[in-house]
Amino acid sequence: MGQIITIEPKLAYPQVGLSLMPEADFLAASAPLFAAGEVEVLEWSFDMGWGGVALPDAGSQLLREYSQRDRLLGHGVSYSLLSADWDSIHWLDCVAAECAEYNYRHISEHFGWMAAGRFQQSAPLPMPLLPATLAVGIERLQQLAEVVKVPVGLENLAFAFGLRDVLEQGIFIDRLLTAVDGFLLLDLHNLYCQIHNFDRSAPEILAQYPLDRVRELHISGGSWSRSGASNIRRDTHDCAVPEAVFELLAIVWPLFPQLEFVIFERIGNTLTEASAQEQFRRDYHRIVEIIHVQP
Amino acid sequence: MSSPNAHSQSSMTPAKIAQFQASLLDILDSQPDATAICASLSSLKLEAELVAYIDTFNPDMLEIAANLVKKWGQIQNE
Repeated sequence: MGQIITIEPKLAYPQVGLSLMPEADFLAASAPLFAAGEVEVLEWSFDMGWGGVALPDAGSQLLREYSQRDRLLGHGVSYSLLSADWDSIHWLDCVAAECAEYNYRHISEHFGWMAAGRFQQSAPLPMPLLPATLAVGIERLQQLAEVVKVPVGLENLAFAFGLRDVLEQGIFIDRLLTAVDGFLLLDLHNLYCQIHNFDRSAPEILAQYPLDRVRELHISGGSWSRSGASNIRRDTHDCAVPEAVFELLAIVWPLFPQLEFVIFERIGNTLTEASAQEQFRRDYHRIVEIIHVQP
Repeated sequence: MSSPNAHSQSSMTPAKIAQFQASLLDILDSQPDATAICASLSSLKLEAELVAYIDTFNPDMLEIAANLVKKWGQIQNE
């Protein structure tokens, strides 16, 4: 008798899930969603844990459960893909250990860079598309793919120094992903930031991206910052999802033939009030409704 | 913003990109506002491609970047 293997049928719609945060308020806010079996897939930003951020037992148990069910996604924050002089050996050793411990369906990172000179880390920033910057990014992405041995992808940035970054980022990401047959993690709130901050339309920006490579979406809220005479939209993950992002999700997700996962992001320590926890769950249910109801 | 030190012919290398990235973070971390950031960036000796790039920077976004780097920047061995 051969081993009996249970294979879950491929769902007709993308799986909807959460980005796991280690803070107690996030775990409390999300507990009813997990208890009801409404979180179909879990994403873990594993390199948060390498910096000494302790994941409570409840969080570790979730990682193990979703890993065992083949419903765990890995998301890096600090690989600094486009840093031209950054020693990535330690990071790659850590991600190799991470992949040995958990069964990640795929691994994604952010477009851009955050380390240079005396800064081991800062904020994710863009670079222009030049032969030399493309070569740096391809080499680093290939190194990541070789280590993790699962599909690798890149997330679009919210921040742009100027319009050139906005209009070039999709082309840059396309060329990077082509080199490793990678996937696009399209963050719709990041897209919304660029739409607002540079007064562009979603179709104009999306036209630059390889939409046939979209395998995952991120949905989140953000906040406004005053800078000079401008109100700048920022990707802070600390507030409710704007109506415009829900509308964007409803319009665009059917356009992505390879879409498999939709992840809701909210940072910890922003859900201490009961009303914020209820809003968080309403936002999650709204995402589920959009994805599961729409044909 | 434009730099009088732009090189007319490019020989962009990873080392020059790294130097630009390190200088950009130092400037964003140390300068108080967009005017000072632009002045510091303009004083850098950069390849023509990078001069053309910083010419596209929006001053309001530079101030946001400066705030982000000041908030999240971690110095090695800090």
